[in-house]
Amino acid sequence: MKTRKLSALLALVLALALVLTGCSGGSTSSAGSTPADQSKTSAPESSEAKAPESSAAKEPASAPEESEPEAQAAGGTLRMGAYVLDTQMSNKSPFATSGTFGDMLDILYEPLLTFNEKKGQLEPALANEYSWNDDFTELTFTINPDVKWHDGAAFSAEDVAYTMQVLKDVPTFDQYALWGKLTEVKADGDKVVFVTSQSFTSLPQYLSKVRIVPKHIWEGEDAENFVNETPVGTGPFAWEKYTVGTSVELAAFKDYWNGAPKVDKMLIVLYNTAPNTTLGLLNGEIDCTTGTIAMSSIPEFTSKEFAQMDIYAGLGNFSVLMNHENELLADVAVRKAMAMAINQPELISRGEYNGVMPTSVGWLPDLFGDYVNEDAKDSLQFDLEAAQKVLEDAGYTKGDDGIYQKDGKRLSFTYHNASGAPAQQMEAGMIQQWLLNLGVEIIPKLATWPELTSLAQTGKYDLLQMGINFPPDPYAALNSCFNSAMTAPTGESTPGLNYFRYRSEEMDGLLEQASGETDEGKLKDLYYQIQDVLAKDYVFLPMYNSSGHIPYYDGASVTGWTDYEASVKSNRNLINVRPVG
Amino acid sequence: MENREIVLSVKDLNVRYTADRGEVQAVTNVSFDIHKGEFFGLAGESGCGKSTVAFSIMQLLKGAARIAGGSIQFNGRNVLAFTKEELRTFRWEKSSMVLQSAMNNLNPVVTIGSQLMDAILAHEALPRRAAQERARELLKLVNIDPARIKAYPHELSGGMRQRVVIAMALALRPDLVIFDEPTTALDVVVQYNIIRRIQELKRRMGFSVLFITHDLPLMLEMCDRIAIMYAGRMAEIAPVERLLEGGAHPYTRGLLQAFPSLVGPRKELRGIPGSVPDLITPPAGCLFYERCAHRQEDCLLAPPALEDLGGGHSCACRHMLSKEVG
Amino acid sequence: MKGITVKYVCKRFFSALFTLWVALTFNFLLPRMMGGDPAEFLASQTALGSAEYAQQVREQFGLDKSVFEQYIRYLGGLVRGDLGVSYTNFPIPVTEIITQAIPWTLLVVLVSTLLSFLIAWIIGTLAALKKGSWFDNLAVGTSFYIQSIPYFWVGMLLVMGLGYHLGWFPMGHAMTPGAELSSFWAKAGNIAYHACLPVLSLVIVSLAGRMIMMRSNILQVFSEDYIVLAQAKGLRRGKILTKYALRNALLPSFTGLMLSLGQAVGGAIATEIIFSYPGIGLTIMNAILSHDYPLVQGCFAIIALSVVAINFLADLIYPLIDPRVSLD
Repeated sequence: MKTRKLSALLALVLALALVLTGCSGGSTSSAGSTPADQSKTSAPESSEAKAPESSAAKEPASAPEESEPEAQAAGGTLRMGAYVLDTQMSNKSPFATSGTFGDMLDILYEPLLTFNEKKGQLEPALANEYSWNDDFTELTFTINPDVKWHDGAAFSAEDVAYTMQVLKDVPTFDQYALWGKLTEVKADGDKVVFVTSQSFTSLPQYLSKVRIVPKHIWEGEDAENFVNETPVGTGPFAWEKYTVGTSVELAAFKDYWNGAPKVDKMLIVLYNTAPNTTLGLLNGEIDCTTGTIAMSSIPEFTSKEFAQMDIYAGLGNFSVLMNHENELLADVAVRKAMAMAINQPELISRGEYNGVMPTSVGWLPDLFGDYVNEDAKDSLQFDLEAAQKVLEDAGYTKGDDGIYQKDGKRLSFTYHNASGAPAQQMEAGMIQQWLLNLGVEIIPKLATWPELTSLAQTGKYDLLQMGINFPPDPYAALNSCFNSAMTAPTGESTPGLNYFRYRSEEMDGLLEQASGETDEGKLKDLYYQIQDVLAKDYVFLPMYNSSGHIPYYDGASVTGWTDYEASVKSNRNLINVRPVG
Repeated sequence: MENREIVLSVKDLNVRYTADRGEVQAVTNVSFDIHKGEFFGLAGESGCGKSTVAFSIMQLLKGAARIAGGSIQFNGRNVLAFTKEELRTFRWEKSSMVLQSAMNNLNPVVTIGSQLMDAILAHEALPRRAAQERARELLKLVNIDPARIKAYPHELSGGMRQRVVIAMALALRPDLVIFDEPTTALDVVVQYNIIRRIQELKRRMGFSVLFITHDLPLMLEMCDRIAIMYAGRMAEIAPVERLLEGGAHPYTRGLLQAFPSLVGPRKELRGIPGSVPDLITPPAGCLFYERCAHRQEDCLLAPPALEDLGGGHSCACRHMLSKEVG
Repeated sequence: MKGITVKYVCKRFFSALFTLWVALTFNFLLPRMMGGDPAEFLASQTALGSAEYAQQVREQFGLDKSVFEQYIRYLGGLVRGDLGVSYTNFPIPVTEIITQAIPWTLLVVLVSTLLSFLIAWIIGTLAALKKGSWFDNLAVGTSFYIQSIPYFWVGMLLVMGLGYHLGWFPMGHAMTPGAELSSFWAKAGNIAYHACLPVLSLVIVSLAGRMIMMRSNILQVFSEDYIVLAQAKGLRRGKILTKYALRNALLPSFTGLMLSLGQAVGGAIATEIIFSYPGIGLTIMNAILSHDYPLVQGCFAIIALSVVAINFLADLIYPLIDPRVSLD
């Protein structure tokens, strides 16, 4: 009986092993035809470098002795780590708004213009230049003639027009509701013309979020349900294969319009959690990540040889939202005092290991360049005593329990923050302690991220710690967050991002003017005024900017991250990376 | 009777086991002989050590129990000096056992046929077919339909199970079969049938029987000689006729009077007052002293030795009773 | 087959089916009782969280219909084997997501369950046979100790120790990233190599309880009369051990094994997190967090199905190994 059990066990294990190798084989690219073939015909050295490649992926020194001594083609593999779940790899449609591996899609596909997060400006990509008509209702792009698709087909304005048509046909893809303002997109030779019903000056910024797809592949498919098994794009690396739960392999696209990448391959290793990604980085099994790294490991990482961190402001702010419909929080003195009681620099150094930039009380992050009102930004300073004085001047007195109160009402608020996020919880703890020091009582509450979003949208909170992301357009960033039209009473869901329930006639008026303003100087002045209003109204408690903080090794296995004007993971830098040696 | 050859000879057997409070003297200086073809009974109240004697013969003492002295001779060979292999062949080929008919005498997940065959094949190298045939024969021997060879123990009644165990005990035609309370858990009708069957088989196959029970009247019906134990020691060994006259040991007398009789005038039941002494620190003198109606001063000196009275009768008492004393 | 009648099989089958239906109904109700609106959640993922977008999502997934109507559609889909389409991974069908993830979970959990039982039985038997010896005391002592160590700690120790510092085993993943493995054996070998630490962690943690149970089962069986009789019969030690002792002692363990196997599909989520292993556990967790009803329902349906199926199988197998089980 025992032997029968043993043999059954063995048979089961063998059967499973068979099934698994079958399964894992099935996930790899069945259409090895298109992108792989392409790289073979135009880059003969890639096939030679196959053998040393797999070993190069492990050891730091990857001297490509076997490949041809060509200045450009240096062989080697760039290994990037990402916190990505297997389910995110099922759908490779660049249109999907959730459940996809966004960073990878940004390497495979490109928009008309890329938004450089470091410099806060648009740069040419698939379009060389653009121009407006006089009343900003017609935007004309000139197509970059050097662009090619991964399968060798020629890129044209038709592809752009087609992509925009898909957004129109499938409204759930049009996440910025562009077709609310667009009336027509037409291709005309080497130009694409966008026609709008009203002046839409920030259209170029929004278009930097639209990835262009090849018409000749997509038009035969049902765009809404097409999962895009073998992506064909214009980016510096082309799709090769995916190994379940392990890695994505991309091949260098030698005909890339901005120059062929200097590595042959890109290997994106997928990890299930941020700590695992960090461990992989510390172990040296990857050269860089897409930005995820457990913050507490930053000191250990930066102590390693060749370690570098690329830190820059991003399109999102972490802050403590305040519900202005709470009668105590409606008092600006209370909000001001709380803002002054929080030690922002310490928050960032202890909570995020100085891996992020602080959020300005004027809301706009540094990447918006000249639009940022530095004075408004610097106006908020940490000063506990002054904060208490603000409260006392406004008529609040400290009770025996150490909590300020006025007319019998104590300053006591619920404070929601995310569960299962240790860094968030630690920071919440720090802020709660500072507020307690000030003399404000806090009742902590935990919620999952989806629940937090729901609470913020419906206003069912007093204080809520969360991040808000906004499009790369200063007007959108300010309008959607502070216009009274973008909010709703507590209990209803807001139409925009004004979760604070902040209503100010002055603010609304300034925003109204800015929406139609086309003169650069006047626009900048209006933005400055808006930020001044924010700085004196203390709408929220600023924490830090949810930015890029990308760790990478420069000089261990690969080097060449030379273009510090752009993010380390931007396409501009990826093509410069080459193996050491 | 005395001239028949001796199959089993136990001399001065001592068994101890370690308990929390100290060493228990379970069996002390027990001696008896079983002759060829004899139906030998071993009686006594619960805890007197009779099962321990049986297990000692089969060398199946468990746990903390161990043989501390004495000898067990089987057909002239010293059982206590057997090697592992000698012991294995001794068991069942020479001496087999039938335990109390609790549910768990037989392996519940194996067919009775298979268990019978196990006993056979452990000692004789037979092809399976032949062993199976033998098993069927054994079942017929105890009046069970041979087709039931594929039955599981739980599918048989209590009485049938016990018969299977008996059949199993006879599988290799041993010289001695030890029955340890084989009918205690069965009702009287079944008990009667089983006893009859044992007697019949004994007649047919000629083995000796060591029958252990606390049911003295039952033994008086079947046995040739009976040994009576008390508190780990042998009190009296006597042929049945002598016992029917009353026995010599006061304990035997007490036992005989304690059992009611179905025939004859109504008698008042007389038990034996008191209880068994503590076997960890036994008293210095006769262990029956406290409860003995005939005790005297010199009984306190030392436990009495077993005296041979002739005719296969021995008794361990300083003041044995004769027939007349009632 | 001994005693197994068509009637018995049918009874068990329908009872299993009923249990499955109850489980699937709860499966449908529970995510909806979680609160929160998946349409709003999806809408909040985009920069503007517009209400129109949320409404479109609702219509797309039929969330605007009544609960009862959704239930009917759900049951209908189940019968056809259609588990719906995942909200967050639209338009990937749920069945595809599950079939991609399940084999890895099954590999790690089934292998570790079987190994763990096997090793536990061996050590437990040896400890019982040598009761009171240094081996027995060591086995029991370390079991109690190991049993109190939480799983994730064992896992992390293995990753940091054997993986990161010593480098003997890979720190995670199902296969080596970027490796070029052409032959079947090379692939199988690579997968097995990567599965070592996850399996080891699961085995270590589950070993203790099973070992102790097996040991006490055997000790109890040893005290039974039929073992004494088997020894009296002069059977060889090996035969007594296997045919008489183990055959009886393994029976309770068998139920335990079946239960564990049934729960295998539930995944070992902590294992997947620690070892970056692509199984179904993480899929479930993220589905719950994102209110992805079809995916949550689909995963739980599969779990319910496998538990019910394995129990049904156990019901069929058990009479074969234990003849005392009545077939009514």
